Amino acid sequence: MPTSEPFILMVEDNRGDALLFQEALRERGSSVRLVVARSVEEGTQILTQMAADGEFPCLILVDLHIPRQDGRAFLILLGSDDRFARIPTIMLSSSQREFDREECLRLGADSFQVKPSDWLSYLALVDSFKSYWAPSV
Amino acid sequence: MKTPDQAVPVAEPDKAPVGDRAKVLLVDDRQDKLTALEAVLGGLDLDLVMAKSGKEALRLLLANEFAVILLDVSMPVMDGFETAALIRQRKSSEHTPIIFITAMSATETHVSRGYSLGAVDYIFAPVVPEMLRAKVSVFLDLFRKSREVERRADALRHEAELRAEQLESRLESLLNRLNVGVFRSTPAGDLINANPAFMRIFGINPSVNPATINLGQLYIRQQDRSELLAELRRTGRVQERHVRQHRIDHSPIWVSLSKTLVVDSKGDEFIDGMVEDVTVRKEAEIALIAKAEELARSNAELEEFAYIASHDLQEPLRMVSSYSSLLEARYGSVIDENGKMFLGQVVDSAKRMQTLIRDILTYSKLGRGSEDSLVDCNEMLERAHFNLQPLFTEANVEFHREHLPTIRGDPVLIGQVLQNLLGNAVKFRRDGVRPRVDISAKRVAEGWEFAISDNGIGIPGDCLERIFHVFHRLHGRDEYEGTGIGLAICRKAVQRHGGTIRVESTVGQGSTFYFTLPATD
Repeated sequence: MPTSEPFILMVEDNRGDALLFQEALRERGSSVRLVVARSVEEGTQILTQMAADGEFPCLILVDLHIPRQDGRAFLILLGSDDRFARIPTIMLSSSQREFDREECLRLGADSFQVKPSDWLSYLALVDSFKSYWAPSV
Repeated sequence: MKTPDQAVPVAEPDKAPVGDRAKVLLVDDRQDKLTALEAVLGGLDLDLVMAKSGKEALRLLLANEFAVILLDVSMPVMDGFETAALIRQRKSSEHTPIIFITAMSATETHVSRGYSLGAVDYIFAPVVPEMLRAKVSVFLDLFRKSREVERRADALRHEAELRAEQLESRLESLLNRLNVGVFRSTPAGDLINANPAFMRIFGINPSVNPATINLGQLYIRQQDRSELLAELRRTGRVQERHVRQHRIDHSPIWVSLSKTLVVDSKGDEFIDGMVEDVTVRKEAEIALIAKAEELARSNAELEEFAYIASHDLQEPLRMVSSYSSLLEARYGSVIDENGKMFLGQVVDSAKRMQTLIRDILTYSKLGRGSEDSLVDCNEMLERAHFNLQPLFTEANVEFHREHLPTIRGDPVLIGQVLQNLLGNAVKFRRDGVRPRVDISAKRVAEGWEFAISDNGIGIPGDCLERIFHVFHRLHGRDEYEGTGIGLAICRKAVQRHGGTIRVESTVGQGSTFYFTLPATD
């Protein structure tokens, strides 16, 4: 289990979303680091590097529609690695298409969230993470 | 008196023409008997032929047909019975009536022997003239009648043949005029004959000897030929099959081919066939199919594009409304009322855009086959009403609903139609007048006609059709909310079910929207 500061890994190529999430964390007084990877490749790199130092994220957020490599592929990667399989993983998407949700849950995501479109909803999202998935957030 | 060797008829005045008269054969070895018979029968309308012996009689029978034969039983060398037996053996005289003349008092065996040999009657000497005349007349009559029947039968047969010929030539010329090629070939495909239309279809010079052409040459793919031949063998015929063939100059054509396998009376096999040039029709068909496929492909692409586009369009909007609200939250204290109002405009615009994109997506998705099920419209109305509850309450709507039918369709679309129309009915209400909305349905030829009426502001007569167009808005953005797609969505949804939608309205009084949906039966 991680001994150093907890961090959240966010695999998101949209800078605006990442920034909003960061602000929401700050607003809620969280001291958790937000590490943003702009691609699944980068995300995998970061995870492996941190793991080598004995550090693991307490929460992983993945944008479903991240370009080049689908967010789904990342899920499969996580699921197949014992080190990461048990970390809560939340898929984020602006799409509400039903099959996306079911498919992600089938692939091993712990939850599926629609990206918020106003500030208050962002705060609510952070609150839900705190209370449910990762109390350390 | 005639000599036995001559079959010269007795000419009598006022009787049937010579040659056409019935002939009667008298057979007796005694001249005096013959003379006596001649005397008795001479007055009748017939030709008498005499024979002095059975042998002579048989000889005469070779050349003549007799209505009746009078046969003396007791003759030397060959008696009457023997003669009768021989007469009956000949096919030509198998059924000629024979009257036996006998002097003997008829014993039963004698008579029955005669009958078994084919005698039709007996006359006992001495001959009673009236009796003989009467009997002979009966047979004469019969003979004449059967000859008449034969003549008539021949005439009918001849007429039938004539008609058949005429029909055939009419058919032939018809087929030629209609450019239907008709042909006969051997099973191997060697052409035996073909009508002018056939030659024209394949561009063969009519002077060419058909025997030089083998139908196999006309096929583009020999595989087609073998397949058709196999079917011909299996079922005895091929019916209107479209095949690619080519004309004698190798230009390709599409033909409709029909063939049957026939066997003539000698046991020889032939293929009889009909062929029509369907190139134009076929090419149009192929083009149509290609177009349909292209359309399907393009539709799929469009849907994909619409989905992606809307997706990517939503992204920046989310950013706009999120950051605007963040701005307000964080810097609200240093922003004055005006500033807050400006921010509000920004957020409103973003929200409107999001709704618009959603509506466009909905509109574009309509028409892609979705699953049909039984839809209880009362239930859908309930839901729509529930969704509009805040609006209904705020406006204090007087809502009257009648029982609605169950129809077959897409529940989501039906729900949308109801919600849109109900919403509009309340949205466009008159100031100071309590809004009233009625919904009902009645059975019509096309299925069910639903009616949603209100007592709102109404719609001008010249806009009744245009309001169903996408983006068409009757009022400014500030007066009434809405994207202007709602009714377009309604129309498309209704059309997808094969129905129609229209509106009747009076400005200042209200509107009634009518839409039809097919019934389940």
